[in-house]
Amino acid sequence: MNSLLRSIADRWSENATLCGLVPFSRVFTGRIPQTELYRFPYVSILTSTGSPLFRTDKTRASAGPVTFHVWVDDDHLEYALDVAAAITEAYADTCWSLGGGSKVFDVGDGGEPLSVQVDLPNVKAWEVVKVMTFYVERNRVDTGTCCNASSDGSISWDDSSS
Amino acid sequence: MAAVVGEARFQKGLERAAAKAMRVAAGWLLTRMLQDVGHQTDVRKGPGSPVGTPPYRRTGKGQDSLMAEATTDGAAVGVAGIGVPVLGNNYMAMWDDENGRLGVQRSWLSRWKIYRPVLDQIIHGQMQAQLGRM
Repeated sequence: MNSLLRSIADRWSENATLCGLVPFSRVFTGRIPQTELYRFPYVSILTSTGSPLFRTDKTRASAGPVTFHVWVDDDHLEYALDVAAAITEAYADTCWSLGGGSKVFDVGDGGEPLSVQVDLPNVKAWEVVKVMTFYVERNRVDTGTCCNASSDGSISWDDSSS
Repeated sequence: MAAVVGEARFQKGLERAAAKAMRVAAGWLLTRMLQDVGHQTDVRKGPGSPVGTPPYRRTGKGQDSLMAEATTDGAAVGVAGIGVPVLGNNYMAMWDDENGRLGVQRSWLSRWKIYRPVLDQIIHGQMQAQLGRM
């Protein structure tokens, strides 16, 4: 099963429009490079823990924020906004499999991209942040021996901890 | 009477969803701060922890708090948290200085403030997810 972050990155690599704007080699899913040393533009994708939505006997679903950080030179804000629009087009209201029975079952658009100007002595840039909410349903991996169901359907409780 | 009870339950549900949404937003802020620590540790050498200790995070200081610490290469320790689960101006960001003193660093306060609109969008998205599409 792919991680959500890996899966989002893979979809970027398969999208000609996105790769045309920011090549996949400039898309980062881990630690972002030193801003001072790296040439713009680049994109960093950040996933974060979401909140649980529901669970079934086999799966559990959650909704978590995913932010796309588009970094460009300080005179390329419009370009970054174009990238943000392409990100919305590519990901919003989509669904796909993560493998192993898990899936992204919806992607909510977080609204207008947010622009942050970085004006430091050594760095002049725009950081445009696109927020989206990813709805993910994963297979449950239940562990522990507190409840043991036998083949005849009866359930015995392990009370060894008491 | 029934309307009053229903309203109270709705209010309770709303508060619970808001608390969850803010925790998620705070978690995002921690992740973003830890990402920035990668830069900080390359340029700031404090008297802190041993070289090579990876960044880590933890929960603590009450059930509604989140904390993150990053201690790579003897650099500063960052802490971000969220306290009382209510909507409003309730985020915190603190940072050790180069001498290891814990305090609120102006640059980091401004750092999280620039992400305030992002936090608001995350909270809104989480509220939508919790309460159903509005």
